[in-house]
Amino acid sequence: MIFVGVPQFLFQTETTMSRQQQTSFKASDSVVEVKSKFDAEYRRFAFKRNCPGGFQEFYSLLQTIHRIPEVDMLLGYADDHGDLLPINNEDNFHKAVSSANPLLRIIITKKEDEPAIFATNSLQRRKKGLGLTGLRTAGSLSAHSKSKMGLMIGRPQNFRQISSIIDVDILPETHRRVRLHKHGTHKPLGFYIRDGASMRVTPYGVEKVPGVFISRLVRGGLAESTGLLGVNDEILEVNGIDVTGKSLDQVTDMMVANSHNLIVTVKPANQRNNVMHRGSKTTGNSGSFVSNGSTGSALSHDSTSPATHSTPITASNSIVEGDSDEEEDDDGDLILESDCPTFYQSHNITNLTSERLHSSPVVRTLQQSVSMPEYMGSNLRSGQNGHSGHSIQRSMREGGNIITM
Amino acid sequence: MMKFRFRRQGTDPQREKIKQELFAFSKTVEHGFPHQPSALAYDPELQLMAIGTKAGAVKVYGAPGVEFTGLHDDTTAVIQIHFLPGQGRLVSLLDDNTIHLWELTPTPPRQVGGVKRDGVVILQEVDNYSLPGRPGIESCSTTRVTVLLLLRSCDLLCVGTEGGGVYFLDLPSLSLKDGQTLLQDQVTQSLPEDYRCGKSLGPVESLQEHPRQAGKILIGYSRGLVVLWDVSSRQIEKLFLGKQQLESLVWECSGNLFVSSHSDGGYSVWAVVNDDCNNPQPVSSTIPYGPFPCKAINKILWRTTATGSPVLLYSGGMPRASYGDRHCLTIQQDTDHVTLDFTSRVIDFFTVHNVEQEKEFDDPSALVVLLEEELVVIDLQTSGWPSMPTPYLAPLHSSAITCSCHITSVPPKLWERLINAGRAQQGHEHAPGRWPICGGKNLAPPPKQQELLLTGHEDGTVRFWDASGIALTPLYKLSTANVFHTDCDSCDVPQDPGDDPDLQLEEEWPPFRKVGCFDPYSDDPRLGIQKISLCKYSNKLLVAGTAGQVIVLALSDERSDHTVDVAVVDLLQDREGFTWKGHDRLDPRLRPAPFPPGFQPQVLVQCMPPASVTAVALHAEWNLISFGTSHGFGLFDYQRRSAVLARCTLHPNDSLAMEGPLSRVKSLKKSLRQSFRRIRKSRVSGKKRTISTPTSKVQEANAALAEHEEMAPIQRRIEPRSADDSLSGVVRCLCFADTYLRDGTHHGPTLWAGTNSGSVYAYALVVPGVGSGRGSERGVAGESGGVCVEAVLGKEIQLMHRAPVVSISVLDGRAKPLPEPYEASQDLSIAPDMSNPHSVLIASEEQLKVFSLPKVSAKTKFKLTAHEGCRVRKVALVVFSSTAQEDYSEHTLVCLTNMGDMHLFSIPGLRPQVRYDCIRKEDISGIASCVFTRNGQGFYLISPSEYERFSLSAKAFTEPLCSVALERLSLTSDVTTMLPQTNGTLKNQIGQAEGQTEGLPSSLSSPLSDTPLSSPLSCADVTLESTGELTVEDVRDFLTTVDEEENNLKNIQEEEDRPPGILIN
Repeated sequence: MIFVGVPQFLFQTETTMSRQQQTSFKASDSVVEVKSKFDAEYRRFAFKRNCPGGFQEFYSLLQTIHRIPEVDMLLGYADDHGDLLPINNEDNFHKAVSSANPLLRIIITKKEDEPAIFATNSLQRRKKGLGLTGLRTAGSLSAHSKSKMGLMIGRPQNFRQISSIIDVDILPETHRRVRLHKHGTHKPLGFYIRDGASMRVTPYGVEKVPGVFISRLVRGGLAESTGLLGVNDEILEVNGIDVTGKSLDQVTDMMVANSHNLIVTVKPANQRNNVMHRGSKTTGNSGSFVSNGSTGSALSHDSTSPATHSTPITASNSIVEGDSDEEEDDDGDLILESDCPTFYQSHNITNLTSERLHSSPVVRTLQQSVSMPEYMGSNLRSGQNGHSGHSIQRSMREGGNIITM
Repeated sequence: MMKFRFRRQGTDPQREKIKQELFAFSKTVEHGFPHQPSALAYDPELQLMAIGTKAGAVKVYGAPGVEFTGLHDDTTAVIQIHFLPGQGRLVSLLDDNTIHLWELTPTPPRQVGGVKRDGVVILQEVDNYSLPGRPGIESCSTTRVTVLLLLRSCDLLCVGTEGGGVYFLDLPSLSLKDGQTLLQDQVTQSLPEDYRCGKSLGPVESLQEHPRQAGKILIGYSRGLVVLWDVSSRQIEKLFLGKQQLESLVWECSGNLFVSSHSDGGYSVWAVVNDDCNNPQPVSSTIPYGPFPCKAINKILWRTTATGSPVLLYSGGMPRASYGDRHCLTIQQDTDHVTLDFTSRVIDFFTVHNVEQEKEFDDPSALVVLLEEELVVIDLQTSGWPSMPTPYLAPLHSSAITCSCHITSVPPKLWERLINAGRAQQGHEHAPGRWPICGGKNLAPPPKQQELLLTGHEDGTVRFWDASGIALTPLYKLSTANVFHTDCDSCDVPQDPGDDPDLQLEEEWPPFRKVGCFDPYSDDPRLGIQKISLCKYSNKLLVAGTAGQVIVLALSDERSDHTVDVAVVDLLQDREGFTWKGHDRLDPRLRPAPFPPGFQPQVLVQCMPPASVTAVALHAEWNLISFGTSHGFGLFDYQRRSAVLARCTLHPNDSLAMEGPLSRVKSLKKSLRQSFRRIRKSRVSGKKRTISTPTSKVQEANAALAEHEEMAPIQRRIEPRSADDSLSGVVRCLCFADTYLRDGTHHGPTLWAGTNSGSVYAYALVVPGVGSGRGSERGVAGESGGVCVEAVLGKEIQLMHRAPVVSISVLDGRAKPLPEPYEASQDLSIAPDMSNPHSVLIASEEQLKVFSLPKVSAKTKFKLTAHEGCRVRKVALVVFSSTAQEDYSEHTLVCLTNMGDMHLFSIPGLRPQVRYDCIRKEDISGIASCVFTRNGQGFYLISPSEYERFSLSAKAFTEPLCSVALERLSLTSDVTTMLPQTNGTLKNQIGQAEGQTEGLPSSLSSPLSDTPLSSPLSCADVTLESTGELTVEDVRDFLTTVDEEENNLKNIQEEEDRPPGILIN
């Protein structure tokens, strides 16, 4: 499962937003009451709702109010569902302001400190100190601090799943079943297919049969960003339906018809990446591979023993399984998504411009981890960086390191 | 991947049996004119006519309804056909130099659709032969067959060749009679020295048997020499030393004269006298259209008459410079001279005349001319030689077909009035002569009901065809051009009274006469008909065209002069920033115009912008019409002449729709890209050329080839449809229904519209005096509201997959389609079930879905594209009757996909029943032209001029069923023939009806399988029936009802939050 850096404030906020707006506009006057907390200190102040100013202004305002002018801090706020959500750019700042009812609770953490977990129900869970997420974060955090990378790596929960490798246990090693989650993003799926000839081993020897192949990946598209599909990969199935004997146009139509939840089974052109595949096979758990790919961060890779791969049943893992169970009803979950895209686009832009500090390393590290198999395939790059002879996992980590620097 | 493993049930044998009783696929008959005809033959004894085509088909026609089709194994052009008179056999010569013998062969009696048929006969190829090359001579062109002649005795086939030799084949064995071959050398030896001059005689151009003396044949060589050869004694009887290049020969019936036609446009008459000297000179020689150079006379006929001078008929011979491009045939008798001027090339012609030996004269009764695009028959017995209407082989494409519409079980009253209107039209054009080709007997029972096929044409006409039987007969032609002011009539009007006599006085030479109705040139493409809807009970016709014109017509038996009311409906409403760059609207005629009996226009509704109309609906009972274009749709009350509703369906980003049909946006982009590539390429190659050496040229060529290939590979982009795809606002379907839209207790008139981007709009209509809904309540409340029709937006459904909505239909409480207007109120059909909840069936290009009403929640669905990779092109709700039980029938949804296959689904369960391959997937126009009947038949165009008729029903099919009296040695009289046929396929329907798949004779083998191909999912139990399922669709409800208040609130919010339609799939 692969995550790309689209921070968490997702449809939960989106959908509730409109409702809140309705009520809050009615209920409150034009003032936002702010209650901010840093360590054990509380500050209360207010500003006008219709002129909240920019995020940077607000950031420095808080620094002055809490008298921590030199401290790098992370901002979070509690929405009315009790979710702790981050404020790190204009967009989510405005969202936070608009969600104030009229009280806006701000939680400030030092950047060096353990970062707050921004997630659904994160506040409640934290209070309870229970649940998978909590456990997991605790464990991973210790690992994280051990690594002493000082890396700012986003939690899986902060990201939206855009793709996954599924059914590893039932597919032959040479095949890969990739699921692309188109919904919610404004990114194009971003690939092209073509006709071609494929070699098949038949009882009569090797035969050339017509097949459908990926011909091109669009830069910045969903398909490319997952790193799971490559040019010249042969398409074997579309959402479980064999494409043998189907024309290019038929396959195109099938893919477009399934585009919101596209599952393609491919025979990758580059079979070297399947080394990884075998490793996961030994663990006998398809999920472990998923977690490897997805959490992607240096967390689990620190421990070299394969056992650790399979031990934590991670939250992300359970998400995947839950999803695949629901796949039959692939339409059901789409209504919620329907109103997001415009927002994301603008968010991404602001991310790049104003908040490079925070978000960009996150995005890039993860992209690195996404393209992990490719990375392993070419030890060249890590070798260039003077880290040759390391284990696969090591080179992964170094990769992450290099990128952030 | 559990989800992909559908629960496969063992096929239910009970259900399978019912399916077999309901569904069966067959292509039954081809209507219209064969595409690209290439040969013609006539059997005067059996009175059968045969036409061969370039695709290798042989079609035999007799009396209306008598048809046979055969297809050669190779799709090679048929060059010649010859009947063995009276034997029911024919010989065909193909372009690949093979000779084929065909025969009407009886097969044992069989059960056909429950009726017993005796002595069923099919047309099948029995033998074929190809002439061997002369030993030692490599070139096969010398033995290339140029002409065939069948002797009257029917036992010898004379074969003329390119090399000048004449070969003789025994019939029906098709074996070469070795000793009989007449090579050119033999002829040359007996030629006078001065004529020989060392040159070859050229190919054999014509072979004709002496009309009185059997066994004597006239051999005409290309160089001009004609030889009378006695086959039995193998001697040259006479030589006729023609000097002009020969085209054809014909005997006079007494055998005293023969006529030759020549390449210089002249013909010569030669006398055959019993003296020994050779005839160096013809009796007379004429170049009818001289003196300037003329084109060749390709074929000439000389027919004697009892009344006087012989009739001379010949094709071609026109003055090369002035009329060289005309397709002409001349009929000449004494001073009567007519040059028939056709719009397409003359393939061949023959006359129908006396063939009995006793009769002294030919006395031709009719001339039959096969043209490239139509068949013309001229009555030679009536003075003036008028043309006769053809009961079949109608040129459907006389103007290109733009749309079609089928009406089942036409009420007798309407039928009669249509026939009368059609007769009135034909009265002055055609002679009421008897159809001359009347061989065979149509044994098919008279049709139980009358069926109409309406075709819309590019020239603005709507043609009404009798589609009840085998022969598609024209009934009536309606022209909509006279509603408008067109260029041609503006100049015609003043000319009519004064100029015409002058024109006639002025002696035109040649005396041309326009014959035939094939007219490929359209006066104004905007007149083209796009959509047709006919209410058969109220005789109201709705016709809509390319320039946004929507015309309501009513049937009248009287001629009428009136002005047509014009109403303009602006479909853009208040949308701004759009400019229409397409064609202008047509100018309506403002003065009263004469309208002949038949359908006469009442109202013209002009859509603005004048984009082509893409959907129409007519509800004559409510006096409402609805129409849609690429910009929106409108609702119009034609009784009160008032527009009720206009709704713009354009997406704000959709600029392409505004460009009109002449849009260049896409092509410009493409062409720019291409031209850049070309520039780049030429630069590269230019550079190369400067340094190129001869040896590198091959490499260069290879590189260029590789580059070309690299550029060429076809790629397909995988991207979901986005909201701003071009032409998203095109209205694809419209539908009126009396159903529950507001709530579950009040039903009322509704209007449904579906667009290209998967949006469905449902309007609740208030029609005075109709429905149990609020209309009646309101009628009490406000008198003003009761008078005119109102429309209130009820629901807006956005299909999540955004595929174009192909069809919408409302199903009643028993899940049966609602009856047509008037059917319920006049007790013509079972009243719809209004007590149980209704549902609406929405078919998009990708999915079929049934929603419950009034809540619009998905009940069942079938995702065709996701499963099969094909897209829905045409959809129809069809009633299939069982062959076993008289009263059992099922409503079924028939889907034609872009792969050309038919998928049948049960409703409302949407379970796949059967799948049949029907149309080649490459045949896009065939798929686009497909139209279904209500009882499981259908039509599609297999060529611009031919409809293939097919049947999906095991019970209802229309197929040829006819008998021919054959006088063949092996056969005795009267055999019943039954010949289901297809374009290039013959189907053994009998076998199918019996549930067998029998191998057909190899010559008629079919590329398509007879057995129903069961869809991969047909037996899969697709469990999608979950009533409470959360639907994909975003349903917006605008009618506030108590139980949906919350829902409404949410929807309203959504409305505010975002512009409609940014749902991204």
